[in-house]
Amino acid sequence: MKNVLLILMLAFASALGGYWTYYRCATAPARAMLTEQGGEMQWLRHEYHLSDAQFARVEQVHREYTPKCDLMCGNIMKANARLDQLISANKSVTPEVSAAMKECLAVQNECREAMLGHVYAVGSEMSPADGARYLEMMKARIVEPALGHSAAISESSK
Amino acid sequence: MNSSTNDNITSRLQAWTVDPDVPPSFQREVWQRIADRQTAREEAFWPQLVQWVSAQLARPRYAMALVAVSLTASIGVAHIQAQDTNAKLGKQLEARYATSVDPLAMMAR
Repeated sequence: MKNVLLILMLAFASALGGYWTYYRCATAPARAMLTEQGGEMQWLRHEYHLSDAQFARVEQVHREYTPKCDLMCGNIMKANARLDQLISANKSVTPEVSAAMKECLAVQNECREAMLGHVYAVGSEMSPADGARYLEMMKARIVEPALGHSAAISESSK
Repeated sequence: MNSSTNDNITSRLQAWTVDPDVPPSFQREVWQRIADRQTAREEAFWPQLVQWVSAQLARPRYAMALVAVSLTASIGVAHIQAQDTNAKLGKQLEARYATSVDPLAMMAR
């Protein structure tokens, strides 16, 4: 009876150990990407099967785009803040408010255009199939920027 | 066998009556005994099973098989759960990437 208990304990321990080891190993790359700086770029590389050369070019495109993106973000904030201020200061849609609203839309449109340009540039570095999938994922953010985009197409979500 | 003998047997059989001396609790006792036996059989199942498993596990071949099956099953479950976790983490990374190139999403962050 003692031996049987020992065997049962051994089976339980090996099952527990096997589970823990496999789970940790299988999820380690994704967990590492999530915690490390720039993990999203590693995700892009993995998700869209980029070779070293492709990834280097994509990184270059991304590096060039990042300052523009930050600048656009700042412009949107400024335009929004101005509109916010004018909405509070007025009681009707004055020409000034109307102009501020147009300015907001113009800045947002400029951002969407720049983003689309970046998406095309990144997608062109990928294989045709991956490029199409990448465009599909990003398209939803450009067409409907206000949505949460939880339905974006991703290989890992299939 | 002739006809008079047959008639004799028939008349005896017709005259024969059975008057068993059955105690009033007979029926109840029978059912009680059936229930007792059933309970005893059910109670004996688990000790017997434990005894059988113990006997089997005493053999190294079966002990190894149990360990191997447990390990395989646990890895199978871990594989399914890891896939699920990876899909969730992938979604988070996808959103993070999209936010890094989307000024409007950056604003909402």
